[in-house]
Amino acid sequence: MRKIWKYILCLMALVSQEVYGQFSTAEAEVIEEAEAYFDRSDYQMTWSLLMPLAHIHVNDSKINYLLGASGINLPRYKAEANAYLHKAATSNYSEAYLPYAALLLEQGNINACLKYLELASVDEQSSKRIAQLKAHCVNAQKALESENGVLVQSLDHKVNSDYSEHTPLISMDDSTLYFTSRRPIDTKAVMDFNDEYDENIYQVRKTENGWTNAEPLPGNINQLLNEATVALRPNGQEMIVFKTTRDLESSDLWTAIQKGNEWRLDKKLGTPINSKYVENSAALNTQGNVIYVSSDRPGGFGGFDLYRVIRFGNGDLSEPQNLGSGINSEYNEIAPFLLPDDKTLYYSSDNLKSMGGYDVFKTTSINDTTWSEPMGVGNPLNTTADDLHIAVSWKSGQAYFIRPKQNNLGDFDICTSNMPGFNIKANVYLGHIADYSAEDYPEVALFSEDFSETKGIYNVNERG
Amino acid sequence: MKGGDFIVVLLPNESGVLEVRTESATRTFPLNYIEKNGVFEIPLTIDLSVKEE
Repeated sequence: MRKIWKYILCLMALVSQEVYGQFSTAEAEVIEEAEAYFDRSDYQMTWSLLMPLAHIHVNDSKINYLLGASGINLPRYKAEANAYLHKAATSNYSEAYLPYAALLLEQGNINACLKYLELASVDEQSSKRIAQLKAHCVNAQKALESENGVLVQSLDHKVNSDYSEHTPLISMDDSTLYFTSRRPIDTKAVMDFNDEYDENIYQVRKTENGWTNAEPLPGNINQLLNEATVALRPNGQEMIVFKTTRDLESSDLWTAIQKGNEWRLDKKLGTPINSKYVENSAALNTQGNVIYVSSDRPGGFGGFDLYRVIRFGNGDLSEPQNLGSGINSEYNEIAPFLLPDDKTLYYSSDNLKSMGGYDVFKTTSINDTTWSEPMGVGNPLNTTADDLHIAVSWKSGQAYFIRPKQNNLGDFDICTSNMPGFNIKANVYLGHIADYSAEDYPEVALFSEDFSETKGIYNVNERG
Repeated sequence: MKGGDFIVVLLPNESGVLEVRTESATRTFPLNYIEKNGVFEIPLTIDLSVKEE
C-alpha cells in the first residue's frame, strides 16, 4: 500500500511539473545554462543541453522555443526545430512568433507568416527583421503570380546525397561540375560536434548517360578539415577554395591550380582579402586579375557586402573596393558569380527585394565602379526559401545553384535550371599541344598584339 | 611527352597573340575574334615536336 502511495505522489509531482512548468533545481540550472549559451549564439550547446529535458517536459513552451530557435540554425536539426517552434508559437509563447514566422515563409506559407508577424512584439531588436520578412512576403505574393518558363530540377543521386551539398562550379565547356559535400569521404570519416561530417570537394563529369558518380577532387586539396568550393576561373584552371584553419577557429580563402588531372593548393590569398572577419564566397574574372569577394568586415553597408579586389601580376592585391549601395544593402550580399563576359554578375541577397531568404540577383557592370540596377532572376528559380550559389554554364546557359532539400529544411541540394533569354558571345579556343621531346609542360600565354600586355597565362592539363 | 589541353577565351572584338613555349621551341599564333552568335568553339592543335621549316 505504501508503495502505491509513493508511486501516486511521484506521478503527481511529474504531472505538476508538466502542467505548471515547474522544474527541479537541477533542471532549472540546466535551462539557465542553456539560455546563456543561446544568448551567445551557441546553438549546438543549447540544443544538446535541452534535448533531454524536452522528452520530460514535452509541452513546456520555453524549452520548445529555445530548441526551435536554436535548431533552425543547425542544419541537421532544422526539420525537428520546425516542430518545436510550432508547439511554442501555437501555445502563444510570444518569443516564438518571429522565428516561427520566418520558418513559415521559408516553407511558402505566406499568409501564416504574416499572421505571426502581426503577433510578434516590435522592439529595437526585432523591428528590422519584421520589416525584412514583411517585405519578403509582399514580394513573394507578387512574384508567385507569374512564372518565367524556367524548369528547376534537383540533380540526381550521383551528385546529391543524403548530406548537404553546396557551391556548384561548372567548367566552361559544361563537362565537369565541382561542388562541396558533407557526405563521409571514406569509412574513417568522423562527425564533428555539430553531428556533421567535414566538407570536401567532389567532381562529376557529364556524359551521354548523365553524370558520372561523384569522386573526391584528385590532388591535395581535400584534407581532414573543411575544404569547400568557392570560385572557378572561366578558363577552368584556377579555383578559389575555402579552408578552415587547424585550430578550427577561423577559415581562409586559398587558390588552387589544376596540374594535369590533379588540383594542387597554391597559396593563401593575401590579407586584403583574408581578414579576421569572414570571407565566405568569391568570383574570378576571365583573366584572373579581378576577384569579387563577400565579407562581413566593418565599413560596409551591413551584414556581408561584396567587394572588388584587383590581383596584380606579382600576386599582390589591391584594397577591397565596396561595390556600393546599388548592390550592397544593410542585409547580406554573398555568393558572387561572374560570367566570362566579365560584366554580368550574379549574387544572392536577403535584402528587401528578396521573396524570402536569399534570392539570386543579376546586375551588369557599366564601368569599374558602376553597376546596373540589380534584378531578381524571378520565380521559380527564386523561392521563399534560400536560393543561392548560382553558377551558369555560358556554353549551354544552364544554371546550377542550391536550395534546401525537400522535406529537410536544413541541408541543401544542387539544382539546375534553364535560363530563358540567356545569350553570350565568345570564341573558345580548345587548344591541344603535343610535344614528344619535352619533359616539362609547355607554357602558354596570351599577349596583346604589340606584346605590351599579358592578357592571360594558361596551364596545360593532361585531359584528352 | 608532356602535352595536353588548354582553353583560351576571346570576347567580342578581342584579339591577341598566343605564345606557346617549351624548353625546345617557342611558337606564336595570332588569335582574332570571329563574329558568331553564341559560344563558338575553335579547335587549335599545336604539335611542337615537329620542327618549323
